[in-house]
Amino acid sequence: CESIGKKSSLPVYNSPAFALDNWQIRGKLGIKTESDRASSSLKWTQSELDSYQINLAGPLGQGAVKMTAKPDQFTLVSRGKTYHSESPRQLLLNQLGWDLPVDHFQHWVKGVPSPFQRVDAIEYDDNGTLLSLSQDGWDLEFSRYQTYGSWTLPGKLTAKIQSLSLTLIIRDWETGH
Amino acid sequence: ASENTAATNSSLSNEAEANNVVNAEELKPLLQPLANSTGEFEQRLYDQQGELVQESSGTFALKQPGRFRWDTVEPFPQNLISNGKTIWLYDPDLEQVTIKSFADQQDQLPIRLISGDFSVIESGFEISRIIEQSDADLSNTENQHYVLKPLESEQLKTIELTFSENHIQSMTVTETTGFNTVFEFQNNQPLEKLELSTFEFAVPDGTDVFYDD
Repeated sequence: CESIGKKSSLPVYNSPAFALDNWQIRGKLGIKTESDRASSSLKWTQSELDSYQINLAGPLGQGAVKMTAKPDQFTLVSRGKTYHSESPRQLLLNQLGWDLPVDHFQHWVKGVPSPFQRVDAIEYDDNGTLLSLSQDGWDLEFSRYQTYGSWTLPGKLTAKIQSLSLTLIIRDWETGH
Repeated sequence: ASENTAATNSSLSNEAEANNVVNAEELKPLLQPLANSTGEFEQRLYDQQGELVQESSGTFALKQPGRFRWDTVEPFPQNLISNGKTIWLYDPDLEQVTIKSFADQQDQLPIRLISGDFSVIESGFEISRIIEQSDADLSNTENQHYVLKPLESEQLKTIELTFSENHIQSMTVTETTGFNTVFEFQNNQPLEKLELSTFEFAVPDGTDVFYDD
Protein backbone atom coordinates (compact mmCIF):
# COMPACT_ATOMS: atom_id res chain seq x y z
CA CYS A 1 0.00 0.00 0.00
CA GLU A 2 1.21 3.47 -0.78
CA SER A 3 1.04 6.02 2.02
CA ILE A 4 -1.55 8.73 1.52
CA GLY A 5 -1.89 10.90 4.65
CA LYS A 6 1.10 13.08 5.57
CA LYS A 7 0.86 12.10 9.24
CA SER A 8 -0.36 8.56 8.56
CA SER A 9 1.63 6.22 10.68
CA LEU A 10 0.09 3.19 8.95
CA PRO A 11 0.17 2.58 5.19
CA VAL A 12 -3.14 3.42 3.55
CA TYR A 13 -4.42 1.78 0.37
CA ASN A 14 -4.96 4.36 -2.36
CA SER A 15 -8.63 3.51 -2.88
CA PRO A 16 -10.32 5.05 -5.97
CA ALA A 17 -12.99 6.54 -3.69
CA PHE A 18 -10.44 9.14 -2.53
CA ALA A 19 -11.00 10.87 -5.85
CA LEU A 20 -14.80 10.87 -5.50
CA ASP A 21 -15.81 14.28 -4.16
CA ASN A 22 -19.14 14.87 -5.90
CA TRP A 23 -21.80 12.55 -4.50
CA GLN A 24 -25.10 12.24 -2.63
CA ILE A 25 -26.26 9.71 -0.08
CA ARG A 26 -29.70 9.10 1.41
CA GLY A 27 -30.45 6.87 4.35
CA LYS A 28 -30.75 6.86 8.13
CA LEU A 29 -28.62 8.15 10.97
CA GLY A 30 -28.88 6.61 14.44
CA ILE A 31 -27.16 8.32 17.38
CA LYS A 32 -26.80 6.55 20.73
CA THR A 33 -25.35 7.56 24.06
CA GLU A 34 -26.07 5.91 27.43
CA SER A 35 -28.92 8.31 28.11
CA ASP A 36 -30.12 9.33 24.66
CA ARG A 37 -31.20 7.96 21.29
CA ALA A 38 -31.97 9.77 18.11
CA SER A 39 -32.87 8.35 14.73
CA SER A 40 -33.50 10.42 11.69
CA SER A 41 -33.59 10.28 7.96
CA LEU A 42 -30.45 11.71 6.36
CA LYS A 43 -29.64 13.28 3.03
CA TRP A 44 -26.04 14.40 2.38
CA THR A 45 -25.12 16.15 -0.85
CA GLN A 46 -21.39 16.81 -1.45
CA SER A 47 -20.23 18.96 -4.36
CA GLU A 48 -16.49 19.11 -3.56
CA LEU A 49 -14.11 18.83 -0.58
CA ASP A 50 -15.58 20.74 2.39
CA SER A 51 -18.69 21.77 0.41
CA TYR A 52 -21.77 19.85 1.40
CA GLN A 53 -25.34 20.05 2.66
CA ILE A 54 -26.68 17.62 5.29
CA ASN A 55 -30.39 17.34 6.10
CA LEU A 56 -31.76 15.43 9.09
CA ALA A 57 -35.45 15.04 9.95
CA GLY A 58 -37.69 13.02 12.22
CA PRO A 59 -40.50 10.70 11.00
CA LEU A 60 -43.06 13.49 10.71
CA GLY A 61 -40.51 15.98 9.45
CA GLN A 62 -40.39 17.61 12.86
CA GLY A 63 -37.18 18.87 14.42
CA ALA A 64 -35.47 19.12 11.05
CA VAL A 65 -31.78 20.10 11.03
CA LYS A 66 -29.82 21.46 8.08
CA MET A 67 -26.04 21.90 7.85
CA THR A 68 -24.49 23.70 4.91
CA ALA A 69 -20.72 23.97 4.42
CA LYS A 70 -18.42 25.82 2.06
CA PRO A 71 -14.65 25.86 2.70
CA ASP A 72 -14.21 27.79 6.04
CA GLN A 73 -17.90 28.67 6.31
CA PHE A 74 -20.41 26.44 8.06
CA THR A 75 -24.11 27.09 8.75
CA LEU A 76 -26.41 25.10 11.01
CA VAL A 77 -30.21 25.53 11.13
CA SER A 78 -31.84 23.82 14.08
CA ARG A 79 -34.80 24.49 16.41
CA GLY A 80 -35.72 27.84 14.99
CA LYS A 81 -32.26 29.31 14.82
CA THR A 82 -29.46 29.70 12.31
CA TYR A 83 -25.82 29.57 13.39
CA HIS A 84 -22.65 30.37 11.44
CA SER A 85 -19.17 29.23 12.35
CA GLU A 86 -15.79 28.42 10.87
CA SER A 87 -15.53 25.26 12.91
CA PRO A 88 -18.40 22.81 12.30
CA ARG A 89 -17.31 20.53 15.12
CA GLN A 90 -17.43 23.21 17.80
CA LEU A 91 -20.80 24.48 16.61
CA LEU A 92 -22.35 21.00 16.51
CA LEU A 93 -21.01 20.25 19.98
CA ASN A 94 -22.50 23.47 21.35
CA GLN A 95 -25.85 23.21 19.60
CA LEU A 96 -26.58 19.51 19.26
CA GLY A 97 -24.44 18.28 22.14
CA TRP A 98 -22.44 15.80 20.04
CA ASP A 99 -18.85 16.07 18.84
CA LEU A 100 -19.38 15.11 15.19
CA PRO A 101 -16.19 15.46 13.09
CA VAL A 102 -18.05 16.22 9.86
CA ASP A 103 -14.73 17.07 8.16
CA HIS A 104 -13.66 13.44 8.70
CA PHE A 105 -17.07 11.94 7.96
CA GLN A 106 -17.05 13.42 4.45
CA HIS A 107 -14.25 10.88 3.76
CA TRP A 108 -15.28 8.07 6.12
CA VAL A 109 -18.73 7.69 4.49
CA LYS A 110 -16.94 6.68 1.27
CA GLY A 111 -15.05 3.93 3.06
CA VAL A 112 -11.70 5.75 3.07
CA PRO A 113 -9.61 7.22 5.90
CA SER A 114 -9.59 11.00 6.39
CA PRO A 115 -6.47 11.86 4.35
CA PHE A 116 -5.00 14.52 6.65
CA GLN A 117 -5.39 12.61 9.89
CA ARG A 118 -3.07 10.04 11.50
CA VAL A 119 -4.31 6.46 11.05
CA ASP A 120 -4.06 4.55 14.34
CA ALA A 121 -5.51 1.23 13.18
CA ILE A 122 -6.71 -0.04 9.84
CA GLU A 123 -7.92 -3.31 8.34
CA TYR A 124 -8.77 -4.14 4.74
CA ASP A 125 -10.28 -7.24 3.20
CA ASP A 126 -8.40 -9.01 0.43
CA ASN A 127 -9.66 -6.81 -2.41
CA GLY A 128 -8.68 -3.57 -0.66
CA THR A 129 -12.04 -2.65 0.81
CA LEU A 130 -11.84 -0.93 4.19
CA LEU A 131 -13.30 -3.06 7.02
CA SER A 132 -12.29 -1.12 10.11
CA LEU A 133 -10.40 2.05 10.96
CA SER A 134 -9.33 4.09 13.99
CA GLN A 135 -8.68 7.82 13.56
CA ASP A 136 -8.88 10.85 15.82
CA GLY A 137 -10.21 8.74 18.68
CA TRP A 138 -13.01 7.22 16.60
CA ASP A 139 -13.34 3.48 15.91
CA LEU A 140 -15.19 2.77 12.69
CA GLU A 141 -16.52 -0.32 10.94
CA PHE A 142 -17.64 -0.51 7.33
CA SER A 143 -19.94 -3.07 5.66
CA ARG A 144 -22.64 -3.74 3.03
CA TYR A 145 -20.39 -2.53 0.21
CA GLN A 146 -22.06 -2.19 -3.19
CA THR A 147 -20.74 -1.23 -6.58
CA TYR A 148 -21.97 1.94 -8.26
CA GLY A 149 -20.39 2.20 -11.68
CA SER A 150 -16.63 2.26 -11.07
CA TRP A 151 -17.01 2.91 -7.32
CA THR A 152 -17.36 0.38 -4.50
CA LEU A 153 -19.01 2.20 -1.60
CA PRO A 154 -20.25 1.15 1.85
CA GLY A 155 -23.93 0.76 2.77
CA LYS A 156 -23.36 0.68 6.53
CA LEU A 157 -20.95 2.56 8.79
CA THR A 158 -20.71 2.46 12.57
CA ALA A 159 -18.55 5.00 14.38
CA LYS A 160 -17.87 4.97 18.13
CA ILE A 161 -16.05 7.28 20.51
CA GLN A 162 -16.33 6.74 24.29
CA SER A 163 -20.07 6.36 24.96
CA LEU A 164 -21.21 7.97 21.70
CA SER A 165 -22.13 5.56 18.90
CA LEU A 166 -23.33 6.49 15.42
CA THR A 167 -24.90 4.16 12.89
CA LEU A 168 -25.21 5.39 9.33
CA ILE A 169 -27.27 3.30 6.93
CA ILE A 170 -26.72 4.40 3.34
CA ARG A 171 -29.56 3.13 1.18
CA ASP A 172 -28.84 5.18 -1.89
CA TRP A 173 -25.56 6.40 -3.38
CA GLU A 174 -25.43 8.84 -6.29
CA THR A 175 -22.00 9.62 -7.69
CA GLY A 176 -21.05 12.53 -9.94
CA HIS A 177 -24.23 14.20 -8.71
CA ALA B 1 -47.97 22.05 -3.25
CA SER B 2 -47.52 24.31 -0.29
CA GLU B 3 -47.74 28.00 -0.85
CA ASN B 4 -45.92 30.01 1.79
CA THR B 5 -48.37 30.65 4.68
CA ALA B 6 -47.05 34.16 5.14
CA ALA B 7 -47.97 34.95 1.54
CA THR B 8 -51.48 33.58 2.05
CA ASN B 9 -52.08 35.69 5.14
CA SER B 10 -50.60 38.85 3.72
CA SER B 11 -52.87 38.66 0.70
CA LEU B 12 -55.87 39.20 3.03
CA SER B 13 -56.82 42.50 4.54
CA ASN B 14 -57.04 42.38 8.31
CA GLU B 15 -60.79 42.67 8.64
CA ALA B 16 -61.31 39.80 6.16
CA GLU B 17 -59.12 37.60 8.32
CA ALA B 18 -60.75 38.77 11.55
CA ASN B 19 -64.28 37.93 10.56
CA ASN B 20 -63.52 34.46 9.43
CA VAL B 21 -61.96 33.36 12.69
CA VAL B 22 -63.94 30.21 13.33
CA ASN B 23 -64.28 28.04 16.37
CA ALA B 24 -63.22 24.44 16.57
CA GLU B 25 -66.83 23.30 16.15
CA GLU B 26 -66.70 24.18 12.46
CA LEU B 27 -63.52 22.18 11.94
CA LYS B 28 -64.38 19.09 13.97
CA PRO B 29 -66.96 17.61 11.55
CA LEU B 30 -64.42 18.00 8.73
CA LEU B 31 -61.70 16.22 10.67
CA GLN B 32 -64.00 13.62 12.19
CA PRO B 33 -63.99 11.14 9.25
CA LEU B 34 -60.20 11.08 9.22
CA ALA B 35 -60.08 10.19 12.90
CA ASN B 36 -61.30 6.65 12.15
CA SER B 37 -59.86 5.84 8.76
CA THR B 38 -57.08 4.30 6.71
CA GLY B 39 -55.33 5.68 3.66
CA GLU B 40 -52.09 6.59 1.97
CA PHE B 41 -49.93 9.61 2.56
CA GLU B 42 -47.33 11.54 0.69
CA GLN B 43 -45.05 13.67 2.82
CA ARG B 44 -42.69 16.40 1.68
CA LEU B 45 -40.36 18.46 3.88
CA TYR B 46 -39.28 21.93 2.67
CA ASP B 47 -36.59 24.09 4.22
CA GLN B 48 -36.93 27.84 4.76
CA GLN B 49 -35.86 28.58 1.19
CA GLY B 50 -38.67 26.32 0.00
CA GLU B 51 -36.23 23.66 -1.16
CA LEU B 52 -37.54 20.10 -1.01
CA VAL B 53 -35.22 18.25 1.36
CA GLN B 54 -37.12 15.06 2.05
CA GLU B 55 -39.93 13.14 0.41
CA SER B 56 -41.61 10.00 1.69
CA SER B 57 -44.83 8.07 1.30
CA GLY B 58 -46.64 5.20 2.96
CA THR B 59 -49.87 4.12 4.58
CA PHE B 60 -51.72 5.17 7.71
CA ALA B 61 -54.48 3.89 9.96
CA LEU B 62 -56.08 6.22 12.52
CA LYS B 63 -58.46 5.15 15.27
CA GLN B 64 -59.86 7.72 17.69
CA PRO B 65 -58.80 8.31 20.38
CA GLY B 66 -55.04 8.21 20.22
CA ARG B 67 -54.46 5.05 18.20
CA PHE B 68 -52.57 5.44 14.96
CA ARG B 69 -50.09 3.83 12.56
CA TRP B 70 -47.92 5.94 10.32
CA ASP B 71 -45.97 3.49 8.20
CA THR B 72 -43.41 5.07 5.89
CA VAL B 73 -42.60 2.76 2.97
CA GLU B 74 -40.68 4.96 0.53
CA PRO B 75 -37.84 5.78 0.25
CA PHE B 76 -37.01 3.67 3.32
CA PRO B 77 -39.22 1.92 5.88
CA GLN B 78 -40.02 3.42 9.28
CA ASN B 79 -43.03 2.77 11.55
CA LEU B 80 -44.68 5.11 14.01
CA ILE B 81 -47.35 3.27 16.05
CA SER B 82 -49.52 4.33 18.97
CA ASN B 83 -52.04 2.37 21.04
CA GLY B 84 -53.07 5.51 22.90
CA LYS B 85 -50.75 4.78 25.82
CA THR B 86 -47.42 4.00 24.18
CA ILE B 87 -45.81 5.27 20.98
CA TRP B 88 -43.25 3.12 19.18
CA LEU B 89 -40.88 4.56 16.59
CA TYR B 90 -39.33 1.54 14.89
CA ASP B 91 -36.57 1.86 12.33
CA PRO B 92 -35.79 -1.46 10.65
CA ASP B 93 -32.67 -0.06 8.94
CA LEU B 94 -31.18 0.96 12.25
CA GLU B 95 -32.73 -2.05 14.04
CA GLN B 96 -33.77 0.40 16.73
CA VAL B 97 -37.09 1.16 18.45
CA THR B 98 -37.74 4.20 20.62
CA ILE B 99 -40.65 3.85 23.03
CA LYS B 100 -42.34 6.97 24.35
CA SER B 101 -45.44 7.59 26.41
CA PHE B 102 -48.37 8.87 24.40
CA ALA B 103 -49.37 11.34 27.09
CA ASP B 104 -46.50 13.78 26.71
CA GLN B 105 -46.16 13.78 22.95
CA GLN B 106 -46.07 17.40 21.94
CA ASP B 107 -43.98 16.87 18.84
CA GLN B 108 -46.53 14.35 17.51
CA LEU B 109 -49.19 17.03 17.71
CA PRO B 110 -50.20 16.83 14.06
CA ILE B 111 -50.86 13.11 14.47
CA ARG B 112 -52.85 13.59 17.68
CA LEU B 113 -54.94 16.14 15.86
CA ILE B 114 -55.89 13.77 13.08
CA SER B 115 -56.37 10.82 15.42
CA GLY B 116 -59.40 12.59 16.77
CA ASP B 117 -57.86 14.24 19.81
CA PHE B 118 -59.68 17.52 19.22
CA SER B 119 -59.18 18.64 22.81
CA VAL B 120 -55.91 19.96 21.41
CA ILE B 121 -57.54 22.36 18.97
CA GLU B 122 -60.43 23.43 21.23
CA SER B 123 -58.23 25.60 23.39
CA GLY B 124 -54.76 25.53 21.95
CA PHE B 125 -55.32 27.28 18.63
CA GLU B 126 -56.78 30.30 16.91
CA ILE B 127 -58.50 28.88 13.86
CA SER B 128 -59.32 30.96 10.80
CA ARG B 129 -60.79 30.04 7.49
CA ILE B 130 -58.89 31.44 4.53
CA ILE B 131 -61.15 32.64 1.78
CA GLU B 132 -59.61 33.21 -1.59
CA GLN B 133 -61.12 36.48 -2.91
CA SER B 134 -62.76 34.60 -5.80
CA ASP B 135 -65.00 32.26 -3.79
CA ALA B 136 -66.08 34.48 -0.91
CA ASP B 137 -69.20 32.30 -0.55
CA LEU B 138 -68.62 30.44 2.74
CA SER B 139 -70.95 27.58 1.86
CA ASN B 140 -68.72 26.64 -1.06
CA THR B 141 -67.30 23.25 -0.09
CA GLU B 142 -65.31 22.84 -3.26
CA ASN B 143 -62.20 23.79 -1.37
CA GLN B 144 -62.05 24.69 2.28
CA HIS B 145 -58.81 26.03 3.71
CA TYR B 146 -58.12 26.56 7.44
CA VAL B 147 -55.11 27.92 9.27
CA LEU B 148 -54.54 27.00 12.92
CA LYS B 149 -52.16 29.21 14.89
CA PRO B 150 -51.04 27.77 18.24
CA LEU B 151 -51.66 30.17 21.11
CA GLU B 152 -48.25 29.29 22.55
CA SER B 153 -45.69 26.91 21.09
CA GLU B 154 -42.06 27.63 20.41
CA GLN B 155 -41.71 24.94 17.80
CA LEU B 156 -44.98 25.07 15.90
CA LYS B 157 -45.86 28.15 13.82
CA THR B 158 -49.02 27.04 12.00
CA ILE B 159 -51.01 23.99 10.91
CA GLU B 160 -52.89 24.39 7.64
CA LEU B 161 -55.69 22.04 6.69
CA THR B 162 -57.34 21.83 3.30
CA PHE B 163 -60.52 19.95 2.48
CA SER B 164 -62.52 19.40 -0.66
CA GLU B 165 -66.19 18.48 -0.44
CA ASN B 166 -65.59 18.05 3.29
CA HIS B 167 -62.88 15.48 2.62
CA ILE B 168 -59.39 16.18 3.98
CA GLN B 169 -56.78 16.77 1.26
CA SER B 170 -53.69 18.05 3.02
CA MET B 171 -52.12 19.19 6.26
CA THR B 172 -49.13 21.54 6.23
CA VAL B 173 -47.19 21.88 9.47
CA THR B 174 -44.92 24.93 9.55
CA GLU B 175 -42.29 25.07 12.27
CA THR B 176 -40.79 28.22 13.72
CA THR B 177 -37.56 27.14 11.99
CA GLY B 178 -39.29 27.86 8.70
CA PHE B 179 -39.21 24.18 7.78
CA ASN B 180 -42.57 22.93 6.69
CA THR B 181 -43.93 19.47 6.11
CA VAL B 182 -46.79 18.88 3.70
CA PHE B 183 -48.87 15.76 4.27
CA GLU B 184 -51.21 14.77 1.44
CA PHE B 185 -53.90 12.21 2.16
CA GLN B 186 -55.12 9.84 -0.54
CA ASN B 187 -57.53 6.92 -0.79
CA ASN B 188 -58.94 7.80 2.62
CA GLN B 189 -61.46 5.12 3.64
CA PRO B 190 -63.49 4.69 6.83
CA LEU B 191 -61.83 2.29 9.26
CA GLU B 192 -63.56 -1.09 8.78
CA LYS B 193 -62.93 -3.81 11.36
CA LEU B 194 -59.20 -3.44 12.13
CA GLU B 195 -58.26 -5.40 15.27
CA LEU B 196 -56.76 -3.38 18.06
CA SER B 197 -53.59 -5.41 17.65
CA THR B 198 -53.00 -3.33 14.53
CA PHE B 199 -52.02 -0.53 16.89
CA GLU B 200 -49.66 -2.62 19.00
CA PHE B 201 -46.03 -3.28 18.16
CA ALA B 202 -44.09 -6.48 18.90
CA VAL B 203 -40.40 -5.64 19.06
CA PRO B 204 -38.45 -7.99 16.75
CA ASP B 205 -35.58 -9.92 18.36
CA GLY B 206 -32.23 -8.23 18.19
CA THR B 207 -33.76 -4.76 18.07
CA ASP B 208 -32.10 -2.13 20.26
CA VAL B 209 -34.89 -0.87 22.55
CA PHE B 210 -34.79 2.59 24.05
CA TYR B 211 -37.35 3.97 26.53
CA ASP B 212 -37.51 7.72 26.06
CA ASP B 213 -39.44 9.01 29.07
